[in-house]
Amino acid sequence: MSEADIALILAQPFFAQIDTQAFPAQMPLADILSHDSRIVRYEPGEVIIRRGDYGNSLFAVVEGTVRVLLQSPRGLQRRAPGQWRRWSRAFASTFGSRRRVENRDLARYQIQTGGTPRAAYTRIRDLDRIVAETQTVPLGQGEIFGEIAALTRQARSADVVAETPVTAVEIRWQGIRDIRRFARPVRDQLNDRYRDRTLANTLAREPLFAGLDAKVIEAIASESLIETYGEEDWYLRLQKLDLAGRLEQEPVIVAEGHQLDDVLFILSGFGRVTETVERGQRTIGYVRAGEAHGLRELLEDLQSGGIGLRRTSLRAIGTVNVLRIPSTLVEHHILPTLAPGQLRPQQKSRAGEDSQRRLDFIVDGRYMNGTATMVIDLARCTGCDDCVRACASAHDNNPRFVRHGHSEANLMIANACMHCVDPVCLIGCPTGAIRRIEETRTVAINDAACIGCQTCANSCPYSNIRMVEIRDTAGKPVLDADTNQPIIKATKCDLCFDTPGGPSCERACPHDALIRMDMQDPFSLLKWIER
Amino acid sequence: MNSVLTRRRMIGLSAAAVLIAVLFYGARLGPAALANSREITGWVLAGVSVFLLLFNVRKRIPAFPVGRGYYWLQLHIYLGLFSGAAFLAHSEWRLPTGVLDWCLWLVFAGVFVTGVFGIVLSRLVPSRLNARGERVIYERIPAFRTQLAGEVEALVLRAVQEAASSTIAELYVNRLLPFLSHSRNFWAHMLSASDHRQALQNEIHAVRRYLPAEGNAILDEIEARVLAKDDLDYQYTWQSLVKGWLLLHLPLSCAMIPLVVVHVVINYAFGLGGM
Ligand code: SF4
Ligand code: SF4
Repeated sequence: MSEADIALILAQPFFAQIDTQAFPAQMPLADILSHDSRIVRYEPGEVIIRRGDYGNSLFAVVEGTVRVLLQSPRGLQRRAPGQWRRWSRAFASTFGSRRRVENRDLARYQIQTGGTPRAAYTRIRDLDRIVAETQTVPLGQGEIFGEIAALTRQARSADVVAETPVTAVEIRWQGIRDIRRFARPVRDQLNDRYRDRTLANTLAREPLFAGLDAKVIEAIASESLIETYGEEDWYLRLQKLDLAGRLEQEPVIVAEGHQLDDVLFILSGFGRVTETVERGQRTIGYVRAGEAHGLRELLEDLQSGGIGLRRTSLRAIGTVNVLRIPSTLVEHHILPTLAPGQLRPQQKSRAGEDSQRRLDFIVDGRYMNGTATMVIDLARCTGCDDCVRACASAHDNNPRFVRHGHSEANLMIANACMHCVDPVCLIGCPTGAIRRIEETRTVAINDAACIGCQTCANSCPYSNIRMVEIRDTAGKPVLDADTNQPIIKATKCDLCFDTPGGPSCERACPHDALIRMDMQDPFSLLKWIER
Repeated sequence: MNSVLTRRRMIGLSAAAVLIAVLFYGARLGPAALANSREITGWVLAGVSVFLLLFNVRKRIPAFPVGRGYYWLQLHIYLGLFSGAAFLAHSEWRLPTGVLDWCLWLVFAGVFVTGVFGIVLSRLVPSRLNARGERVIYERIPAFRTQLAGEVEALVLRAVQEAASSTIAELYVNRLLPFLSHSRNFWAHMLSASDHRQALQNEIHAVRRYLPAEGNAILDEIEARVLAKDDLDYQYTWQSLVKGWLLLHLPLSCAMIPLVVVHVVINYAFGLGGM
């Protein structure tokens, strides 16, 4: 970025309020901006952010007007298919030709996309009509948007479209993180916006707060602290993680032995729960977005007549956003509404050597991210490949997973999409082709919208997305009209969301060796593997 | 899982035993109480066989919600065991007489024996595959083998150039090249024997004393790859068994269908009502 660009950014109201002196000499604000921001321009009708996308950046309007669309227009949405589609897919996959591999009906692409996929999914042609008929909010020069998804990596909550020619500053979350660290007013401003606009709604959707009325949730939101720990995304160093020093690399959020005066609710990211064993730390569990740390300890203390000290520590795996809720609020409002099953037992009570190693394996490999992780019990798997064949049969005769992966003793995590809590593969898809379908919580790829850019495949930290060359219905490779190169599409496990019986792999396994499991609760996994 | 007689297995075996008892009791009563015991056991056998064949149909329609493969396999196993008893009851413990009946008898025996072999294999294979080397995808084994062979060849060339050693080259040509170029020692791996592995290692170690220090370092690397190739062969053997036994069981099962049809038609056509 040129100096003129930096000057332009610094002149924007959001950045102008920042005290540049507050930044250390080795990390001046101008450097942060030059590394983590860029000037972007949009034509009228161009989609800047899409509802459901996992963006990791904030935008500030420099020039022009954008429209926030509070109802998503058709075409930008992705829904689970109805029953009829599911059954017709099942018939097609069962009775279709086994020789057709990755064949696509090109005529249907034309109908679905009305031309090139990129144009169809990144531009809205009748914005004027949408603005006239639905609820929208205009944002003009100096306004910011997208900060909440960037900070907490939740799905974007609305579509934002350029209404006029727009010039904007886009700043990546790493830049926002650094600015928040040194510029307190910015941190407070962003936290306040998050608290005012989103936090209460976010909490209301979480099971932990399900029994509370809106006023209590608002009170909890306003009296709790929003904090961020850790400086790096959990997935960036996954491949080269130094396991020996891993605990030292993870900042402590709350420490064992300290007063238990608050409960930590995880807004985004993952935390490792540890306890001291002699002079070392042992992993005894983990928490992920939507879960709380300290709840059980608090309940046990209250039952035994007084709040004491923490028995476990919580460490940040990557960057973690937490809500620090005072114990008194938890005691008076949350605990009385919880069902007994909502409190997870401590790992400690079960941990044998094998369970301990498996738990470390899950946390170190970041497999706790999965909501439908493919777990294979190697003590039962014969390698018959019925699961692979079933998957291929349900997906264009090309399996969507590899029956291979990292393993710890007889526990194998196969290379199949885990439908992550934090699906980082979604970040940066230019057409929004890869989305999370809210009804099913499945991460799926809209084949018609995929332009084969490989962004998702490069982003998935578990290497669970594969690019395939597609063929037409006659079996001929489909070539790009401009480059004459084969057209490729991203493919991955979609949990058979469009077939009637659910994941074919799990249902096919004749040896009860394969399961799709939500890794929220390590006990279920350990129980299954030790059954 | 660890114990052979799990609760589920006990239930399955008991159910199969009860069915077998009922069948034999029914067959014994047959001539007195019912028209023809052979006819009854024959139709029971035919019904069970049709159900056993449906397991293969279930595998071919994975997209339809027709029950988990696991439960199908359990039923397949216990009904398969029951069908063995039904077969004995139907044949009244006697060997067949005509050519067709002999064919049917042999094919059924083949299906039954390969089925039992399949059960044993499914119990044995997981621990075998975990015992040595990494669980490699079957289709990728040839590629890994070629890769290892290429690496060993490169190391041998290095030994010739850097360590000026022709001893390693001789060992390579005479002993290692034939070993590396194909999958070897199928039967030894099946019996989990390791004599051939030890023999190979001995031969590698035997040339050490003729080598300079660099040559020994290269030989270490060669040895590691040779052992990795042996592990690959081991995986290949056991995975081939998993893929291969079905190639016997399934065609034999299919061959039974026309034989049974002809058997039934002939018996009814000639008014034998049984066999
Ligand atoms: S593709 Fe990768 S990151 Fe995306 S949901 Fe699947 S496993 Fe997670
Ligand atoms: S179907 Fe089950 S036993 Fe067969 S390969 Fe898959 S996981 Fe293993």
